[in-house]
Amino acid sequence: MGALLPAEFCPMHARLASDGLIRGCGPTLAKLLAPADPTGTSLFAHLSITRPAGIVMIQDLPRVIGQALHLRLCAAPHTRLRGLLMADPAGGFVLNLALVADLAGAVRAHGLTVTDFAATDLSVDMLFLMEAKSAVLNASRRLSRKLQVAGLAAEHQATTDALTGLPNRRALEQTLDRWLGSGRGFALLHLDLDHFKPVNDIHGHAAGDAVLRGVARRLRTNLRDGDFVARTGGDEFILLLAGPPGSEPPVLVAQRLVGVLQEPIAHDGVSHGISASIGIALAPAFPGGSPILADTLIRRADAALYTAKAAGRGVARVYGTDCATTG
Amino acid sequence: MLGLYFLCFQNFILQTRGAATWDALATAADLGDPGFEALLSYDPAVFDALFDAACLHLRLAPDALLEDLGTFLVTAPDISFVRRLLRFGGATFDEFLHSCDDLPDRVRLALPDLSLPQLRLKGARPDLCLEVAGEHPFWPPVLVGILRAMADEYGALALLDLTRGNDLSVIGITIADDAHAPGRDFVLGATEADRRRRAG
Repeated sequence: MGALLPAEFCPMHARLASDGLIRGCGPTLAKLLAPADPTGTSLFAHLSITRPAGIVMIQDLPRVIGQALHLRLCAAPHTRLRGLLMADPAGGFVLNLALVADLAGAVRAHGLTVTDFAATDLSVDMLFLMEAKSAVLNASRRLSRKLQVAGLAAEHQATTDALTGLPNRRALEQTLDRWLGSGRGFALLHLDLDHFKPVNDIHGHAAGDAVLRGVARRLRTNLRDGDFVARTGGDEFILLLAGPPGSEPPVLVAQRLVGVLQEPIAHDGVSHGISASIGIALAPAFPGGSPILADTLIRRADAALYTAKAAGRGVARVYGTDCATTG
Repeated sequence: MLGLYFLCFQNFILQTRGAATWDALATAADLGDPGFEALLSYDPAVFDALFDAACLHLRLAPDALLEDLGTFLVTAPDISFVRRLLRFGGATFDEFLHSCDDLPDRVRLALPDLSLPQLRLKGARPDLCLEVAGEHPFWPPVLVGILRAMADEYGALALLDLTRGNDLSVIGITIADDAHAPGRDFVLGATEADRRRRAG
């Protein structure tokens, strides 16, 4: 059998006598078993068969002829191998082995080179493919991360008002849908600045922009973490006040905000005095999601805002209680 | 055109000629954002513009620049994957040359979008030649640079020359000495960490 199995074909083979002692082995298997010299020793002194179970003696071997075997080196690093055992017609057995699990690790651990594999063995091609796949996967991961960051940046840009840094109308629509869908109780405040147009007309856009930024700052500072404020138009803002039971009534919050905005805003040595009118619409808590439509809520707040302006500006009005309902 | 080509060219210029030169080329080619991604595709006209600008700026003939690029692909420390993937072809320079016939297939295994022209090794030692089939302005001189660097890699001494034809280019390879120098280390199954340690 040795003549029919030259080492070049199966560098990881072992020839066993009928008593289980190793008669000889291929050069690569010799490398794996080094520094031990396997000749004349029992197979089981060097390799243990992990699957199927119970193959621990020479007498057990005939049971597994022709079956795929899982083996392990007894010595460190306990390299895993796959094997196939055949009967040698001249007596004894021939065991052919292959490195399959953690091929790269085994190659590293035993210092194997290209010449340790038969030209017909696909192990080296497998290593090539693994390395190439690794390089491509790394490039792919880098690209995905880059796209993810770019995507987040684009999303942020699309939902932010450039001048004030506040969320924009698009962000408001998304948030409003979410809050209505969650069924939490909240108040929607539509806030319009009063006396803002003259600032732009008389003092120019730089002043107007500074006033708007000042307004945004003051609104942000005077709201709680769970509240939401967006700039939805030239001098128009929409606020969502989260309303767990026991929190400040929205109309009081609105009056406080009007007061805060009536403090002059300074820019370039000029003091600008503006005010605000606020229309409030309430979305009561509704487990499972509010039946009120976003459009409806906004229209109600608009109606209340109209009433606030009609009442002389600088005030807040609540839909339903302070003004005629429009449905 | 695969971004990988652009990235290789960019790294080649950055590492062999410096950032100022790259900036000059990017400006000449009217490049907006020079962030190339290896796996994405870009307009080949942009590559042509970059390449032409490079020849002009560096005062090099196109073939000479391409040969430099080929050498760079093999020798650059942080693009070790090219060098390693080529080393899988054989244990000696001779074996490597004989594996060149399979190189286009092996490269396609790694990255289906990357396609090399058909290669055929002919002749007998010490006078071999590698035929590059088809009309390619780009590959023949790049391959000369690659082969030159691979000879060094294996520690062989070889003389190379290029003859361009319409449908075929021929790279003449005369191996003067197979084992002129010890050649570089190649560990099968090296990990990313090993490779970085080796390079850095």
